[in-house]
Amino acid sequence: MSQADNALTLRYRLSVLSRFCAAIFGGYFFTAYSVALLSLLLPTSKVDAVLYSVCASILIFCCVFIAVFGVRCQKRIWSSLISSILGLHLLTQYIQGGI
Amino acid sequence: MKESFFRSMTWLHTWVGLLLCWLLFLIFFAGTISFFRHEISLWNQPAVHNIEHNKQQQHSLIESGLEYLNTAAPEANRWWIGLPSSRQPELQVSHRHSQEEGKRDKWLDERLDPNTLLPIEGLVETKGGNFFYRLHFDLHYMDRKLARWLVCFASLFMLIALISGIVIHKRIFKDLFQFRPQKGVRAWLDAHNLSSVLALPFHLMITYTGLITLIFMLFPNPAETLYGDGLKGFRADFYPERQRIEASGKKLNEPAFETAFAHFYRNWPEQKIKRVIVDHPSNTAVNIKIYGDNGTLIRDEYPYWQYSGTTGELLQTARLDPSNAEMLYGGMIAVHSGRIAHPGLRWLYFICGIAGCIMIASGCIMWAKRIRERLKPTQTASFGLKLVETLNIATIMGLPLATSGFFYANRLLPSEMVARADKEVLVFFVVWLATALFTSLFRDKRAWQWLAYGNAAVWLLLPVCNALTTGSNLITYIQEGNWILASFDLAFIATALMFYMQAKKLAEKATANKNVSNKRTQVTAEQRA
Repeated sequence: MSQADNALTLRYRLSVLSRFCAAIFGGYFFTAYSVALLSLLLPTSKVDAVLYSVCASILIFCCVFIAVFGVRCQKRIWSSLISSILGLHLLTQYIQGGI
Repeated sequence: MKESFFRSMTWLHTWVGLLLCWLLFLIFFAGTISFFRHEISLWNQPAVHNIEHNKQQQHSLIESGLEYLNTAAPEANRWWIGLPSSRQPELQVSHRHSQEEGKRDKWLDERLDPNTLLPIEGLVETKGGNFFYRLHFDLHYMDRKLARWLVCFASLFMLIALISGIVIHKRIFKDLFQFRPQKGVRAWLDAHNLSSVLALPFHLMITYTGLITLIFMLFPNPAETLYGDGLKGFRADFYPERQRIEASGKKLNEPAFETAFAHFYRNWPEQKIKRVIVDHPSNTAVNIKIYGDNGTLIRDEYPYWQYSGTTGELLQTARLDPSNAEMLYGGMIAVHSGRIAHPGLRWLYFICGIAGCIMIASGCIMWAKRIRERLKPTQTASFGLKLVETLNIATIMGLPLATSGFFYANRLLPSEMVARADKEVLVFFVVWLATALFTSLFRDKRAWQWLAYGNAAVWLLLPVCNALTTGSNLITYIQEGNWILASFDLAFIATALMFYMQAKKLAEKATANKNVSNKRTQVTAEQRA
């Protein structure tokens, strides 16, 4: 907070906005795709796989959220988020036989 | 952006915490009160107060309930029998009726004295504890879906604030024992740390499991991946009892209740029953659904038996032997709702909930105070700071005041009033709005002090109001051993005392501040205690 006062430039504000977007939306989609994949991989009954996956979802979301604010480089955040979401999606599609 | 992980977490904690803290306070406040949801429903319904504890066997209660519904509502499309419990003394018999096309079915609720089996006279229309329960996640005056997304979003922020709070906290054990009153912002910091750290496992648990209660709205993806028809298919698998049963159009006179219940009692003689539902009682599509009571088991959904009403044979059961995943998911929801708790544990839940409210409130206050302290005497407060201060007082002092308004409205509104239940809720929001308007005019310490005195007065008078309107009071409750109602009066008085102490403290500080500084009079007058 102490730095926020003397450096409230437009650039700073934009970088904060970008980080929040990455954390909230990036985190959400990363979690959504990863729990979808997780439910496919779990060797339990369908109901159980769904339940285990949703129970783990918030934990994943939080980790991503915190990580986004822990990593220094903005570009790295966005690039790794987008590529991992894409990867998760493709893997899910592959397992389901869509590709 | 920030030099180290530690600094960025401090920053994250401050801003994530501030952004949604008032909504979070509302959620925590309503949730904490909801732990006593059934007790509040009981308090709000004086006609039920003097009902004696149920002495009937459950099978005779169910039989009487079915007989009652058969005479009162043979044409209903669903019957519902809720058996009395230690928290709800009455026997609930409700029936649902089809409306013309496009309209939702209409429920009619009736309550019987379990011992005499006569309808309870003098019931008033009230939402009771359900108001706070709904407020906790549906908010009010807004679309349900939107409200739930907002609540989820706020809860996620809460979880982030908690985790980043732990990260920035280097001296977590030292702070457990540290409280430095009379030291301005330091005292608030200690209050914030104390209420957070002491009840930290509770805060983490309640926030995480709270998100789990709405998880299928947040992340329907696993169900959509595994089931062709998505959530619908998953629900059909997981909640067989929630599947809609269509009426057949053929009439049936005598459903096979006896055969069905005889089979149930023979095979599960020890099972306590929570409720019985009969779908289409006068139709050949009749189904008898029996829900078992979980007692204090850490489970959310009830074990379930479904019988055909035409033949009386067992059609299906659910959750008699839940899998590990069901135990995990159900267990999380069960520890969140606290339905499993006996009275002692329920009070612990309540106290931890209050600690959560204090954690959020002290966080908001500290934020505003820090900015205030950094202002130079010549500077005026920014709009943002004024807004934070107004919202702080309006939420922290306004919500308790509004809650007392809800209780007063329950006792004082005429019982024959049209849409009475909604009027009670209206009083709650009008009082809250009035407090908010008042605080936007007086943002300083005086507002805190006056509202603290106001709260103390209304909460202290509440037992008096109760005594005058119901004819019973704290002493008669204790004599009769009615501890639930006695606890209400005691809790009201305790709340009043707390607010009185707060007001006293604020008054002392105001005089002390006046004596100390003459130069900075203007600034200190604007500062809040």
